[in-house]
Amino acid sequence: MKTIHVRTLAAVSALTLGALAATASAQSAPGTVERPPGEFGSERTTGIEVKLGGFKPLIDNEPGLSGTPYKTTFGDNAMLLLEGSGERQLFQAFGTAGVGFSAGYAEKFAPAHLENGSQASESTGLRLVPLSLFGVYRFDYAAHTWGIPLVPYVKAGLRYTIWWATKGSSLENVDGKPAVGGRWGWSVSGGLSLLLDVFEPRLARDFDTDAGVNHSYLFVEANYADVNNFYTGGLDLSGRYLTFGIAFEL
Amino acid sequence: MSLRPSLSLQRAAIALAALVTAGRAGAQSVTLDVNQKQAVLLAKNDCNLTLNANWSINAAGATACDALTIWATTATSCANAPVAGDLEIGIVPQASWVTQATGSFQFKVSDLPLFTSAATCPQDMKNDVMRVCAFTKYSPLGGNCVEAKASQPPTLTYDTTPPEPPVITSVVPQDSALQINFTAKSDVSTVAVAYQSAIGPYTEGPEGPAASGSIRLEGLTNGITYAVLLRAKDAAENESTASNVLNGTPVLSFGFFASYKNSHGDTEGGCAAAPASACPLLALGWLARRRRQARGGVRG
Repeated sequence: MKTIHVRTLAAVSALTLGALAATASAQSAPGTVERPPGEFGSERTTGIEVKLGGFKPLIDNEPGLSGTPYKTTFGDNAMLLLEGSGERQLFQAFGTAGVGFSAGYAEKFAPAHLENGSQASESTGLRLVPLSLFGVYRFDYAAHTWGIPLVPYVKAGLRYTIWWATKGSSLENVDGKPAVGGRWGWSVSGGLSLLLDVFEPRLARDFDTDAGVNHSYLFVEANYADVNNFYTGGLDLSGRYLTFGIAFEL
Repeated sequence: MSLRPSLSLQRAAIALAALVTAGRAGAQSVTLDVNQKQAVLLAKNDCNLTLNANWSINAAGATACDALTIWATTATSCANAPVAGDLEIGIVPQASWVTQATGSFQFKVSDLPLFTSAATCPQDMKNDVMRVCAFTKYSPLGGNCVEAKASQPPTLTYDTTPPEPPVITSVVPQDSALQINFTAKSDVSTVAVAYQSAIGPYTEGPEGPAASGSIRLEGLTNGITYAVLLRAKDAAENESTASNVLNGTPVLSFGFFASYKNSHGDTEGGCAAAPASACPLLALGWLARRRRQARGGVRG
């Protein structure tokens, strides 16, 4: 039942991306799109954001595991995930829609273990590089038209996470194979952005005039990612996590 | 009456020209190096070495007032001529150094002024410094003769004293490896590992920078006890006697992925598990990390 549910979500993600791509081809070039009434400033075409959050991969949830390797090695602590993304805005009328790409990096280190379970003098580490291609819709009509400085948004996309594990100062090897690989999956995110322009409108206008930055936001984002090669088993790099960041529209 | 100002102006102009000339002359100096270096370190086994003292001066259009003399001295600064005990490396005649502008002389380490017939090279010495000096006089634009010296006399440091041996403070067992922590004196530049198991003689291991305070000995067998010692080397490659000897036994340990596989994790490692683009990316990242580590410590 769960598999059907998540497969539906994956299909929805793919459809979202496809729909956004279709929208992109149907839309005229940025600069000629309809803009919300009340929005001033230069043309905006691009969004960039940087975000940080604690990411705890659901490695121990892999079906068939006889232990909890993540918890045993790293405890209950999350990895620190830093992500950056860029998006191209394709639709700017009743809200803003676009497509984007994000890349991140997370790492976690802890002492390796000896055969008797005690801590070894060497450390072991897990490093992740999540890459994502996504579609995004931001409901910024209210912010630009009525001055309400809150912009809710949703994202959905495909994700590919490169992973590798180290022991000591080397890539870990088990049975002659290096601990490195990549896992496919999908993700959806929902967030709320706080439009900073309303606090310093004049500074915001100057920022646009001088640097071409139309709007600045602080945001919080809830993420739901299933990264386990679409439920075919193996290393589960899924996660449910919050990120906080800053975003700019150019 | 009307001529006086003109004469005064003429004299002033001449005085100004003389000042400018003197200023230019003061700025001229002989550029010297030894084997293209400003500081040469000599070790005990360098007695038969021949060095090149290279000189150059840009005094085009000037008139030489003296020969260009180059010598080595044990004095702490360069005088205007070699004194008794200094080694005269070479003299460029007055008639030719201006047009020649650059040149080179060879000299032997064993002829340096540190050594005498009573104390020939090699001698046990610690950081004895000599300088290579140059001096001449010339007249720029036909004015008065001015002096020219080496602006930065190269130094020759003779050091044959081995450093004190390092002290191994601990040997930390790792998986197929031992991490050797040590302390060493400030004149030590590198340390070299030697190790033996109970069943074999000492084997030369890796060398690493002394400043790191630890060195990793890899490629060992888990469960076998190894005796390790260090030797220190200074910048002149003088090697110390052996340090204290400590034992260590490498021990098998499990990283995250080994724990995962021990828990019957289904994912296999290796580039087959990653897309073609990911492995080169990882390899580059890993190489960069290894290079950074190599600056901090050398592997066996």
